[in-house]
Amino acid sequence: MNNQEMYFKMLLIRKTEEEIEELFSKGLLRGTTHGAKGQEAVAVGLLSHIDCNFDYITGSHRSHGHYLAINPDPYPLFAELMGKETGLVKGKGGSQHILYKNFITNGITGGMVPIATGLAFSQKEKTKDGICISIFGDGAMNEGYVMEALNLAAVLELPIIFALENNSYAMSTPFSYSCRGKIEDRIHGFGLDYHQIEAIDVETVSEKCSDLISIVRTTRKPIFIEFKTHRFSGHSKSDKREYVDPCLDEYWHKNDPLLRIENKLDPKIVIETNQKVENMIKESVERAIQDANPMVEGIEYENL
Amino acid sequence: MSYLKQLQNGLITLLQDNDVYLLGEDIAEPYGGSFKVSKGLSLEFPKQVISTPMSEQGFTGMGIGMALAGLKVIVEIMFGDFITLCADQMINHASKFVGLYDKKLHFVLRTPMGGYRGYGGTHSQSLEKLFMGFPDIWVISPSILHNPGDLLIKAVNLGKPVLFVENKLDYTKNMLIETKASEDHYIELSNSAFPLIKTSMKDEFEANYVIVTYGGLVSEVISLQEELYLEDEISVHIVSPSQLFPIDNKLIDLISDYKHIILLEESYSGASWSSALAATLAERKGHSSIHRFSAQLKTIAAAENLENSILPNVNNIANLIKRMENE
Repeated sequence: MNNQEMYFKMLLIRKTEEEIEELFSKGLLRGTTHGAKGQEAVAVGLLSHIDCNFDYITGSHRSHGHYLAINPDPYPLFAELMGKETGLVKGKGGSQHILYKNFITNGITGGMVPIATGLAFSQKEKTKDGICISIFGDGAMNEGYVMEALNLAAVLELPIIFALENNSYAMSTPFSYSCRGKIEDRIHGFGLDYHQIEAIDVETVSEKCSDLISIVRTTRKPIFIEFKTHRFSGHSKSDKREYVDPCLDEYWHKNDPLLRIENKLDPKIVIETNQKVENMIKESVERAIQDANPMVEGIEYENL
Repeated sequence: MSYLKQLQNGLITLLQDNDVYLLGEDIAEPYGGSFKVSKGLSLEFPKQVISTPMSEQGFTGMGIGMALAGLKVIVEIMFGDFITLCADQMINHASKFVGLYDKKLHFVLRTPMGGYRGYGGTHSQSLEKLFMGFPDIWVISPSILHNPGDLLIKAVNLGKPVLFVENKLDYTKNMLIETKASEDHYIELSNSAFPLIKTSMKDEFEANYVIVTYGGLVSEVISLQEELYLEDEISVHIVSPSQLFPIDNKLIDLISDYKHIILLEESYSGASWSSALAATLAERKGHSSIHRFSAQLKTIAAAENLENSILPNVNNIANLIKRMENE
């Protein structure tokens, strides 16, 4: 994927998340949402090499970006967030529960990681080079069943990439507080290969991920990648980010992955891409608003 | 044929399909599982019968993920007491893949429950009630009346996550149909996928009392049925569902016709299968003579006399029926 395409996807993610915040503030969305502004280079750099008809990808509560990196069409996502029958899950899922082809998310922190080992098991048994990528955040690193899944993947030699998006905070809890050892040491403790990528320059992220994905396709063995990243969004819609270290914000604003790729492009292309993304989002939102609500069905007894 | 043998036959039939997998702790040779249900199977099906590390949450999730990818998966949990560890993966993952994502999930969590064996508080419980009352989770239980192998095959093919509740004391028992006791009993079954089975003493088509129970307590009430008939000339029917949840409407219709309904289970009393049945009978049928027998709300003790005082005792049912006869 070339830089222009990667920029388009990253911009689409950033602007979609901003539009979602805007729709909430106007009272047009119910429920909650977990934005991933700032983390775009992980989604785009990692998932550009994946065929979602064939490989499996599991996400988390914070997965709008992953979806858009796989399918850069925001319309069914907006429809889902608005609870419309044209949404990704016919309005039943909302922000945290998304299904698109072989990409599946859930709202329980770390819960999809054991599921991903099962998807990888089926890839090992039934395909020659299919893999599974499991994406989760640093909060999941302290869930017991995530540790169990790492061990299972090592013991059963499963073709899986554990992709940790370490944005330094599990909700408001700093990772430096909740994890005293090094992640690298934990991973080595399971006998797994560990790789670290700072998700600032999407070109670099993409090249490194491409190599690592090829390795897993060939060796059929698990690896672990820690992406160092940062979210400019709050944990969820009502979060004011009072706990975020200003130095960290300053570092990441200076190294904003979206600006990094933007600066490599012809300014004319940047303007065109911005126009395209703006139109896509506007049209998607207008269309989704008009869509019908899902049908209510299957009420067997009035009271049970 | 024994209950265990029928269960094993069901597993062998299932494993003929290369897409079927059995996962669990210590299930491969030479151990063959704590209750020997998978004895020999890893030799016959080495790629499909897989011993796992001791990580119930992890390998339950792995099995659900395999099923999400289209495989058919049976996960054995060594003791039913350990299903607390599987709850998040069953309730927040497996059932949601069906309910939210419209996936067919061929996934069965099978496990032995039950006490009366002196194993103490964490190896004697009947915790199936923890998985009842959720959308898209089915709870199925075989007994010596229901062929466990057939039920397991149906559970795997259902397309929804199933908790399959075996009973530790049942493994070594023979199926009722193959014992001498069956000569004196008339056995009827419904045509549901997970049948309801009704037994009466031969020619005793009428009864005022029905005892409704499942799993390991079925053999106890079969003996009680004979005893009440031979010694006290009281006709009692037994109805045993294999589908514990969702509650089978046919079960409610069938048992509500009796004058007195006795519900028996090994689970702790209150907020349980029998409570749900009693409430449904009262609400939908206005039934007013419902009597429940469950375990006391006490940790199940190891000492025999203490354990027996906590778990349900069918003599109490006999006493109740005799008392009602004399009223």
